[in-house]
Amino acid sequence: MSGGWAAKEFTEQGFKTLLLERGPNVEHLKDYPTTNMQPWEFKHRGRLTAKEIEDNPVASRCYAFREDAKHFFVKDKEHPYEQVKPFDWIRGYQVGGKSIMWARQVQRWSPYDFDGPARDGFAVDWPIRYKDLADWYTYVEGFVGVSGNKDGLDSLPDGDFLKPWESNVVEEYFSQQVKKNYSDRHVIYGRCAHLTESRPVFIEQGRGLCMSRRICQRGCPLGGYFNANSTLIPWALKTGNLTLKPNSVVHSVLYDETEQKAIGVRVIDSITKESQDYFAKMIFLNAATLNTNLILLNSKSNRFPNGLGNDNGLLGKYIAFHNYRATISAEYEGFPDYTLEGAKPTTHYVPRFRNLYKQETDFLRGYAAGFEAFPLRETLREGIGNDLKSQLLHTKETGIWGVGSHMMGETLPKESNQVSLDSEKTDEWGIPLLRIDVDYDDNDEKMIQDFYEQFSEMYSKAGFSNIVTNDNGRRPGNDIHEMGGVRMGKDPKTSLLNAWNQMHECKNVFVTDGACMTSTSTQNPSLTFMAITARAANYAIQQLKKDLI
Amino acid sequence: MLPYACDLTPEISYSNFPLLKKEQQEFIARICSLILREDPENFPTPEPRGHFVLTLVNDCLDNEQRAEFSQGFEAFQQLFSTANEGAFQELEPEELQRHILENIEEQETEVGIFLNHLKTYSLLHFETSENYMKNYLNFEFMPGRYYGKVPV
Repeated sequence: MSGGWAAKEFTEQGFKTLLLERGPNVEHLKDYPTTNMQPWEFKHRGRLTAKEIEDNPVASRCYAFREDAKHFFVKDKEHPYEQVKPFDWIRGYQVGGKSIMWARQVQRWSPYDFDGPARDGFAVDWPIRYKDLADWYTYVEGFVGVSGNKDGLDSLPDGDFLKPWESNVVEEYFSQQVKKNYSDRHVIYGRCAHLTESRPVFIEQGRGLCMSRRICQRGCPLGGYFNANSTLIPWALKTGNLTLKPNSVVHSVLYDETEQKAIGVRVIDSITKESQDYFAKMIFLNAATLNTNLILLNSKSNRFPNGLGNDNGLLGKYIAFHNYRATISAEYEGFPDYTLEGAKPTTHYVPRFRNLYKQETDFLRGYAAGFEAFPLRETLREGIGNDLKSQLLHTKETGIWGVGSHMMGETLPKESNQVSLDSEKTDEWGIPLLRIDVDYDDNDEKMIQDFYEQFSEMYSKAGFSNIVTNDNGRRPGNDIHEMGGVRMGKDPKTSLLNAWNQMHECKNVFVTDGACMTSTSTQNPSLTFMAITARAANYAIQQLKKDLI
Repeated sequence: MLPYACDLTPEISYSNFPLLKKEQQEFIARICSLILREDPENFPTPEPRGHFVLTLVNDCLDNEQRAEFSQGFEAFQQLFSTANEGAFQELEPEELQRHILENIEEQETEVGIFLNHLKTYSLLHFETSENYMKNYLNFEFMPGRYYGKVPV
């Protein structure tokens, strides 16, 4: 969706813009084939076939790769890559990319996130701070539509929010208990990119309110959640300045040594396999983190034999992600006389509290977590025949609530966590396969143990019972929050991009997707990608207008 | 002159079970119905129970599970020949039900595995029927609201 943001900013301000997408077009409303299907209308009732699982061991480990939305995901066999260590690379090759199937959680990053590497001594210092991005967060939120509460937390700054959905009794209870038992911990409403009230800009976008269908991954006919297809792309097209070209696989960025800048991109038609060069004054690379790395690594010239802008040899290195391995569940018997009605598309959220103000553990950084609570239902399924049917017809809520949390841990960018090009194997379009060499480390393992201990304590103090912790074994990448490889920084010797996301060594190339990230924070990163993109695009536009690029 | 015969009865073929004859498909459908009776009047579904279950068995079981299913089906049919009860098509519902009951709790045996696959998918078929989802599980396709403090 960062590419969509760049297109919106440039076209709105009168620049003719070419938007390249390697996959097919997906038009809002027209290309959501399953969006109105009822559960009983699916041949396998939502399940994957054994062959689909066998053919897609990576994609099928993604929670949203199911019968209703599998068509939006890259199939493993069609787009292979090399796993030096196990890594689930979850991709969506179509106009709109993964914004169609994303989880829609949009928490701002805080000053503690941008200060982190310098304070704690890892990676390199961010060249920007929260204050540089704050207004751009507001700008982006106004267009996206973010439902949330103003919580007044410095660890999770407030934004321009639409009204939240109601909290349920157990969410409220746990929030109060945590407030009572801890001075530095909070349980708040998870801010999400869903429309809960209308504003003129959303009407202009043609979007309606979210109806809590909770099948967003199919594409929403109401435009109730934000994706690029319902907002950014049509918005940019409406200006008359956008040319959208699907089925265009970017092979490399073309560099002119005389002019000492990039002059365009080489594109391979994904269907005909024909190659064509497109020329432009300025290039924004937003192919999603790892493909942006791949394109730059493959952009070789006499000036840049190891990839565009890669004088320091750090391109593709310092990849990081979010550690989603740890979960905890329990039961609560406190509100037997209450239940829920309807649905909402978000859960509650526990902002990071570990090592926030000072270092207090034997691991660096910390984790955020989700929190959800729901009435447990009991359905017996013993025996056969009339006995069995009778049990099914007497399904009932038990009066006990199930509760659960999942950890979202910050991982540390390390040089050894990197991607590179395979020297022999290529894909169907003749582009080298990406080799991904990324893994967890001791810091992540310690963080998992701390999550278990802290949340077990928080749950116990709240009176929850049957507390069970679990390591779900999710591989790196399965969080779908991979970041880095083309990181921002102050020093060209240790980073690839400056404070405006401009390549140190090639000023008319900007990288504003996840590849630009210097560190990962704990918050879902998409909102930050969008804010960074809007900021960089407006800087680039000013530079273009002043003829400085 | 060569003898020949043409059977023009429409027949569904399941790609992973090409040798499954029509009467065997019907027999599996009978078993499913005895495990959990179809109720098309009150719990209508887009497809008949037997076809749904065989579709899921065909598509969603992996190679090993399909082999287990086939062995279990074969073993289940053998029960009748060893019991001198004649062909499975001729079994009375009570007799068939008795065999199911005697074996379905034995989840480690070939027959138990076979029967439990049928039970799993029969339950899925019933529990994803429109009436059951809407009126017993409170499913709403487009609720448009969320109330978190509703007295029971």
